[in-house]
Order: sequence, then structure tokens, then C-alpha cells
Amino acid sequence: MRGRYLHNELMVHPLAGAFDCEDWQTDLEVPIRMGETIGFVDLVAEREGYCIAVEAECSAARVERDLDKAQALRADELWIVTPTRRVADAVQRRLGRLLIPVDPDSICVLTQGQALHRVTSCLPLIAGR
Amino acid sequence: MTKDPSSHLIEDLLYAYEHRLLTDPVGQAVDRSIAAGVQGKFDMAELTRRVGKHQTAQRFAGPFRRHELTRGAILLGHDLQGRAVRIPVQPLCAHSLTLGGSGSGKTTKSRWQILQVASRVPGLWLFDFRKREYACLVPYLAALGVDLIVVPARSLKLNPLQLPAGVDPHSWASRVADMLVQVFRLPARATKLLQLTVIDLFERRGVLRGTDDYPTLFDLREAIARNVAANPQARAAIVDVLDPVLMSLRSVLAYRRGWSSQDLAQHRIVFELDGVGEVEKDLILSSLVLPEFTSRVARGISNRSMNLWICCDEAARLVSTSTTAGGMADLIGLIRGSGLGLDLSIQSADIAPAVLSNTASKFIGRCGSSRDYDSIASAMGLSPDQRKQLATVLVPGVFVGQVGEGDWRHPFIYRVPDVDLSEPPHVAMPPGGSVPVGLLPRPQAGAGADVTCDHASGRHADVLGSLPIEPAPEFADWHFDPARRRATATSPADSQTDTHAAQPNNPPHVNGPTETLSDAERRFLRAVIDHPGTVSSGLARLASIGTHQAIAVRKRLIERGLVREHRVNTSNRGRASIVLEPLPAGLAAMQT
Repeated sequence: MRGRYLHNELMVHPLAGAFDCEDWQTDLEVPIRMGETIGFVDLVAEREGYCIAVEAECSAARVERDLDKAQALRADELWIVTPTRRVADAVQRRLGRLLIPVDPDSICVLTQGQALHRVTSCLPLIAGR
Repeated sequence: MTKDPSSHLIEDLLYAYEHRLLTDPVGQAVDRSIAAGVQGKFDMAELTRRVGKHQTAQRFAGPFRRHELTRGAILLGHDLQGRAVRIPVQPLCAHSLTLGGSGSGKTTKSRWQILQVASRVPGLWLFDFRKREYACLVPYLAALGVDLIVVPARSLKLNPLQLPAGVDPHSWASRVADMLVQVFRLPARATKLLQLTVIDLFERRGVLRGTDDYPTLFDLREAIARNVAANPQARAAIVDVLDPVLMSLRSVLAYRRGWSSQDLAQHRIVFELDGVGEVEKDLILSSLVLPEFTSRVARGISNRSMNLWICCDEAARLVSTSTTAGGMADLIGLIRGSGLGLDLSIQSADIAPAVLSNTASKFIGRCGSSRDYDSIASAMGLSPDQRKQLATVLVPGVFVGQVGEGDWRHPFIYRVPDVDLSEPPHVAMPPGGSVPVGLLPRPQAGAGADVTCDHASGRHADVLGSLPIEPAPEFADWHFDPARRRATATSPADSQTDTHAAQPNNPPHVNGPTETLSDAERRFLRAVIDHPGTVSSGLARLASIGTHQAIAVRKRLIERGLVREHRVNTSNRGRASIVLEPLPAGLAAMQT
């Protein structure tokens, strides 16, 4: 994984572990072809045909590319996970300025704690959709 | 108007029944005649005579009944009319409690009973906590052919962690943890740490598999000091209290297998504990008595004749309300009938309810406080008249007693004979020319309770030296190291000492970037590496350091380039937590 300690050890791995505990099938660094280039989704979680792409971001600079990767993957949801609320707010503002149409229900901007909470507490309630 | 003669007869008969005046053959014949309605003049006169005589004597006796304790091997003393008060040996097995102020005659009473009981039980433990009161009995008991061994505190060979006979190791770990918490007045949280550590030591040394390679208190101290994950307050408290005790009693406790209580229970011994501190006294007392109590309970011994009598002259440490939680007060009720008799003497009525309930025989001497009279009078069920008389009738040597076993349980008043210990008795010398006891008689001086005694040394070794022991030589020269103690008890971060100093394979300092790291910094850095993603407050707990100290340690590690700080919202709400990333320099430092 190309991220650094904060990205990998503190954000992606704990989330992958949480998904695993909830019986989701997880893959790290999933390669996606996007036209001439290949991108990598940090974490893909899949269960019963429902696919969630998870991108850990420490800044808002790569949000558009995250959207592209999620669309290429045909993920049902894209979670952009940030270390702090400040970064999450920045990502939200960046998403608001995008000109491309975005389904707000399919994109979640979450802090690390919120993402873990969502995996452990919320997903079991909506399992099977 | 005159009374019907038949009503006189019935009243006299009821009085005679109540006071057992018709128990002898003549009395029984009178009783049968009256019951059959064939009583003659003799029967009536005999009944009236007995009742009248008893009523007259009773008026002189005051509110206390004339006692009917006329049989038994133990002469408690004489009532105020000079009649002997006797009881059998067996009621002593139901434990007795004597309350009396200083100078009330408790010690004299105790000595008087010991002189009679010693030859009738194979085991006798006498605890001298402050004054040397019991060693004076050595020559007197020798004259009776009874060996009484005097053992000073520092000549004992004990291991409080040694498993008593028949006791499950897990049960003993729990019991001994409670005992240590009580003896050392540790916080309640220390109980679990002590219990877990003792079990761990038992497991490591194979005690759980049945070996007798017992850990010592030194092992316990080192194991707890090394356990950096333990609650720091509990750890520091245990180490703090153990260090001075281990230093003081090093020669007593440096044994993997010390004298077992079961072996000691076969001897008559005076434990002289006046030469050690109060905590040490408590530890020695508990290390002797608790295993014996627990072992007897575990072995299920019941309804047997008394084979061990324990006499404590100043037993407040055993029975006080403030020191008995989870301790021996709970066991006193269980050991009744196990062949172990307790004779406890105390000066004030600060007594745990469990002790009051489970000491069947009670004696009260002169007290200095009305509260003491009230407390014991209530426990003995004295009437208001009897209670009122306590304050005036009790003088030194006079006691009000109540015997717990037997069919006569009324309180009675009696005087203990004044035991004159001023002249050593003539002791028949055996052919070998020495006194057949553990110690030679001490030179005597003074009279009565003021007699002083001196030790003759070394003789106890002849008797107790044959008991099986296994020394722990590695702790024979154990010494208290203030620097190590400071480190193990969560020292300031700038301390240069190491918790693991006691381990030969774990040098206190390593080369490389950690050379200047304090113990706290090393523990904190280790926690960062071993627990990635743990927030800073959690790291402080893992490193067993306080929050404020953790902040300082964290800053120093960041400044040295050993860790990097990240802020992550690790929970659903609230502020971002600080999470630390170990940098290559930090990893390398801890690998060296």
C-alpha cells in the first residue's frame, strides 16, 4: 500500500478489520482501469452483491479521482474517510464545488471514528439490501 | 390470708427445677415422690431446706446466679463464696474472648489456664505481641513434663505463599491475597493484582501441578514490580509496603518451604513478636494462623477433641472491626469444632460482629469504659441489674464469665487465683542433665504479672530444627534498593533506573538512541510500537504512567524523532485523538 502510516495503519487497516468482523469480503489496493491509467481503491468491501469503495484521504486534493475510481468500480457506495473532521469538512466543500452530478446518497464523507461506527453499528441494521 | 401449702410446694419445686437443686440421688428421690403424690414430711422438708439455702446464698451472690460449674479438668477460679468454678477442656474448643482493661488480670487468667490446658493438648500456640508474658511459664510447664518452646520473631522460618495441607492453590491464592491486603492495608484494587500474580507464580513454579516449589514474597514483589501493565497505583502500593517488610524479615521469609503450620501445630510454642514492627507482627501472625485455619476448613475436620489451642494476649489485631474484612474473623466461625481453640484477650470492645458471634465463651474483667461494659454485656445477654453491677464488682482478678458449651449457660462471677511466678519451680533434671523442654528457664525476677523473663538462646532449634524446610538462598542477601523501588513504582520520567534491574538478562540500559531514555520513556515507546493506533491516553495506561507524565514523555519522544504525532477522530464524536506513529529511529532503538 502506497500510503503512509496514518493512511495505512491508522485508517485503512482498522476499517478493513471492522468489515471483516462483520463478514464482509474485503480487498485492499484494488486496481481499477480508468481509460489510459490504472487507479487503486484503498479498500473494497463486498457482501451479497453490495459493494462499498473506501478511500482514505488526508486532504481534499484527490476527491475527484476518488469519484472516478468508484464509478469505474461500479461501487454502490463510496466512503471517503478522513482522519479528522476538519479534513472531512474540506472534502465536503470540495464535493459541493464539483460540477459533475453526484448522488448524495451514494457518497459518504466520514471521519475515521464515524466510519468504524457505521461498519459496526449501522451496516448490520441495513444488511441484505 | 395464708397461702395454700400446695402452692408453696409448686413454687419450691419450680425454683428447684430452675436451679437444678434436685439433680443428686436424694433430690431425684424427692422429685419422684412429689411427682407420684406420695411425698412425706422428709421430702417436703428436704425440698424446703434446699430451696431456702439456695435462696439465701443467692441473695449474697447478687444478680448473678450461683454457678453450677462444678465438674471438669480446668479450674477457672473460685466464685466470691469460695466455690471452685470448673469446666471441661472441650468447651475451650468453641473459642473464648476475654475483655478487660490494662491491669484487669487478663494475662494472669490466661497464664492460669495455660498451666492447666498445656498438658492436655498436643499443640499450643502462645502469641506475645508486646510484653514477654508467656515465656515465664517454661519452667513451670517443664515441671509438669510439658515442653514449651520460645521462638523469637526473627528465628521463624516462614513462607506465607506456601500451600497449607489440603488447600487448593487457587483458593489459597485468593485467601493469601486478601490476607496481604489486610495486613498491609493495601487498596482493594491490589487484591486482584496480588491474586493473579500469585496464581501466575504458582503456575510457573508448578505448584498448580502439585509440586512444592513455592514462590516466596520476594518472588511476588519482583513479579509485581516487573508487571508494567498492572494498575500503577496498586503496583506502587504493594512494592512500597513489601520492601521494608522484606528487608526487616529477610531471614524469616527467605524460604521456599518454611515451617508448615501443620508441623508447628504438633508443638507447644511461644511466639515472641515484640522485636518486630506492627506490620511484621500482623504478617507473621497471619502467616501462622491463617494457613492452619484454612487447612482445617479445607480438610473438613469436624467434631474432634481439641488438639491445638491458640492464645493471643493482645488480639485486637485479629478481631478488630477495622482489620477483619475478608480475614480471619470470617474463618473463626468455620473452624469451630475442627479441634482448634482460640483464646483471645483484648482491651476494648472494638470487636468484629463475626467474632462476637463465634466466641461461645466470654469473660469480662475490669474495663475503663462504660461502652466496653455495654458492648460485652449485650453480647453476653446480661440483665440490667447484672450490667449495673459490672462497674462496681469487677476488680483486678475478678471476671464475669459465660461458658458457651454445656447445659449451664448463665453468667457467673469468679476470681482467678493469683499465679505466683516469683519462684521458679523445682525441675526434675533428666539423666542428661538438661531441662527436657525447648528452652531453659529464664532467670526470674519480681513477682506475679511483673515478672520479667530473659531468653535462653538456641534451644528451640533442637526441637524445630528437624522440621522440613527449603531455603531460598537467592534472597538471603536481598536488599532494599531505593532507586529500583522508585523506578518500579512509576518513577518520574527522568529517572534513569530500570524496572527490570532485578533480571540478570535484562540490562538496565541499552546502547543506541534509547541510551538516554528513561524507564518511563522506554515503556511508552514500547507501547507505541506494540499497540499501533492506540490513542495517547491509552498508551499512558499501557506504559503505567500518569496522564501528565505521558504528555511530557510524548513531547520528548517527538523532539528526539522517535515518534510522530497524528490527530485522528477515532470515535464517533468528540475531539480528535492523538495517535503516535513509531518512526524508524524509534523502532531501531527498541530493537537494540
